[in-house]
Amino acid sequence: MKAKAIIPVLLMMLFCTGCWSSREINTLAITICLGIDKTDEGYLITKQVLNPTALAMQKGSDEDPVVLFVQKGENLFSALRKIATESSRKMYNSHVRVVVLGENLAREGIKDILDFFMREHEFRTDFYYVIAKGTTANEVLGILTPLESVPGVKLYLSLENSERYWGITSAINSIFLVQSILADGINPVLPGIEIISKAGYSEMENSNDAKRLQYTGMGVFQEDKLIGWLSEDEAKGYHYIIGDVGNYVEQVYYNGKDQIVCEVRDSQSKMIASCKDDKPSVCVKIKTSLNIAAVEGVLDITKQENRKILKELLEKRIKLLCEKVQKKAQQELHSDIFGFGEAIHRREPKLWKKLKDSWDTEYVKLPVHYDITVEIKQAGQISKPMFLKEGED
Amino acid sequence: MSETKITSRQIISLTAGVTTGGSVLVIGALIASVAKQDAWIGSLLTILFGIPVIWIYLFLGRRFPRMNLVGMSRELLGKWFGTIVAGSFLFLLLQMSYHIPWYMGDFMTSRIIPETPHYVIKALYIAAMSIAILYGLEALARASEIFIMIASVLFVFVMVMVAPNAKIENLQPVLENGLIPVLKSSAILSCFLSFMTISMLMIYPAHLDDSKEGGKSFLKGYFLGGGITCISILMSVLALGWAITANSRFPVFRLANLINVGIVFSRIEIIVFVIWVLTQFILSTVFFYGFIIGFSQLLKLKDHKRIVLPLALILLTMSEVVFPDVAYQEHWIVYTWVPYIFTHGFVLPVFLLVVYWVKKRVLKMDIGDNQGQK
Amino acid sequence: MQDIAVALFVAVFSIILCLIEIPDLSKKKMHRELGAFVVLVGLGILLALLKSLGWNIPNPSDLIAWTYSPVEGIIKSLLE
Repeated sequence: MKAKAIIPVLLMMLFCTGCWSSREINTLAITICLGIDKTDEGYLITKQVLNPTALAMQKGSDEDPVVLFVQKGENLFSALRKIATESSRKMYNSHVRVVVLGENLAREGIKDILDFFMREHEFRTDFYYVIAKGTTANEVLGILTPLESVPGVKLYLSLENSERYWGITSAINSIFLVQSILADGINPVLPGIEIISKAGYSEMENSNDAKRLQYTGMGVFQEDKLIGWLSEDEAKGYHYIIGDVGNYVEQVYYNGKDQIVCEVRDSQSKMIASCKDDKPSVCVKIKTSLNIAAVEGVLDITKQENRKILKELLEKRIKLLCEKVQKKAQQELHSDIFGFGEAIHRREPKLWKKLKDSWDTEYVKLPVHYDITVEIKQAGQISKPMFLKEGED
Repeated sequence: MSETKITSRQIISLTAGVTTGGSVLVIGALIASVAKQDAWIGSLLTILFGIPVIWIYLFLGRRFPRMNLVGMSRELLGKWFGTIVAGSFLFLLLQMSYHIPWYMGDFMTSRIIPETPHYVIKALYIAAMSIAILYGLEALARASEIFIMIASVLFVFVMVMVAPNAKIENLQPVLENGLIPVLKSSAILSCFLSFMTISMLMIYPAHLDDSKEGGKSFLKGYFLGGGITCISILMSVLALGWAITANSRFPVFRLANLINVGIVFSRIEIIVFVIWVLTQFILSTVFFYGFIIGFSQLLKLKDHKRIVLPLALILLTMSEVVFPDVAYQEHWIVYTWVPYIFTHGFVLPVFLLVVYWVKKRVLKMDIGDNQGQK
Repeated sequence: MQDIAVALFVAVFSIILCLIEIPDLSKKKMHRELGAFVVLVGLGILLALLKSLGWNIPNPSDLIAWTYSPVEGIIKSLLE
């Protein structure tokens, strides 16, 4: 009897064979990069889609490795859907690596865009946001890149690399971006990308080849609106303050001529908020350890007293970087990109309740102190400068 | 009907499934919106507050070791009133048995396979539930043992993988708004965590040889399930921050989105879905089983399995009707489900307990203690 | 469209179910089971049919929501 009763249930299964909305990979167009610009009547979408045939042929293909789709729409979703009118394949958005935002759009605010990306199920949250500095996202995505055949992958990888080794960008995904827009005591920053055409590339015939993409500095936001840019040095200082530092290169001059180049191994920072008579202040403690990468000159770094001098020089250098960006953010841009407000929020929740609503004005006059410690770990494969003569200092 | 026996280990897994299934994927958002960064304290307190509630359940169970909740209420409250109370409780069980397929359809279509019709997913799911019940309670209990094992291992795996994304700053400042919001959040979470285990009273004493040992397992299962939920909320707040957690419909799913360890361990958020389906399945099947057992008890049916398939048909249609849209569901789950489960998961057992004491102590009636099934 | 497919499916499924169960139940003289079975299958078909015809099936969630609407204020204060 039991077996009989199960027959109908088994029959039910006939109607339930899986793979309803299955899509084979050769029917998909995989989006790798998405550019968004603001136009008069809405958005201009530029989509960089992998061209599988060109990629499969390895070399000697006349086709471009990626295909661009451009479409206008009153909102993001309809613009994205409209691409279906010119593409034979269904767009697949889960593999988007980088979203490029046009500068005009960023200046008008990116809240609506973030809402879309957090809501739509095909978009994940692990891609990075980049701003096209002084240009449009459409232009940026139109440039082919050397080394990586897919420009979107290039954007993604060089963003990670330049964060790790040069320190002027930071890779920021949706989660972090939304967090810093929502919180009262912190404003987001996003890396900027520029189109450059250097003289050295000009012998190449195709004029498009002479253009390259390069990350440059970071865009500072007030809430969700872009209000200004940090230069490379300022971006570096920013990273020192928030403690998110990769293997940067730092150089200092001793006696104005001996150049000592160091590589940062590790740098940690701590923001400690304190309050005196209802006046908040923040102390930033930075602890950096460096390796010496090159000594141009004759400073004997094996000597104890020289190391001390070097340490002081490096501390001064880092402090200078930090103060520069702090001044710019406070006095010029009026945007708390470091999260000093959040530091106060964490340490002094009661004080923060009073400050919260007037934080934008309070922030401008917030005193910030630095406490920087530098450690020199290694000196590379040689100890003294190679060509230092005995007895010479 | 109480010839089917299950072991106390299976009580652990069933209770853990019921406790986790109702809360792990969805509820973090609600809790985070109330208690903000202190949501994890709220969920810890919930586990603590649940202990006396579970104690009441166990106490009732120990007094009537051969009955389920329907039998108990009829024994204590008299035939007519008891039947009405039991009927209202059974209605809750039935509600839940078609809510869960709705959730399943909703989640699958909004996150994983958006073009598949709800019905197909629900039909499959309800078919699985019916098969489980047709195979009997023992099969369900054994399955739950395996499910909980898989779910726990996967859960630990996901949480370890997410750990690099955690930022301790997201928890600070601790207790910014005092204890009140935390207590409020734990009151809400109780309705999805502790009170859910009332459904186990349809299984717990009647199908168990040793009700004392079973009681311990009940608590163990509750701690296991509560722990999973608590950790999932803690990690959501740690890695996503409370604002994003509160804004997400499925915070833990979003949390698993973050996983990117090496190149190998990325894009594995579907694991969270597996955990959810496994525990959810235990939850919904326990509720459905409870309803069928209680219903056939009220109708004095000899073989409860005969009405499983007709009921499955009703579930299929009702799971489509029950929530017309997501906004309705989100409002309902807060404003109606919370008091609804509170009256049945807390007020009802307390009431039974009071009646028991009054009858035993004040009226000195001979009641409970190894009496036969009515 | 979907609803109609489901109603058809429910109908076919219940006919098969009835063909198997009803003779068996009446042979074993399980009259209570038979009664409950017929009523529930009937209800199942009726609900699926009403749904496919686009009628509004009374939603039990509405009923419960109505029952507990007096305490909505308390819950609201919990959420703040």
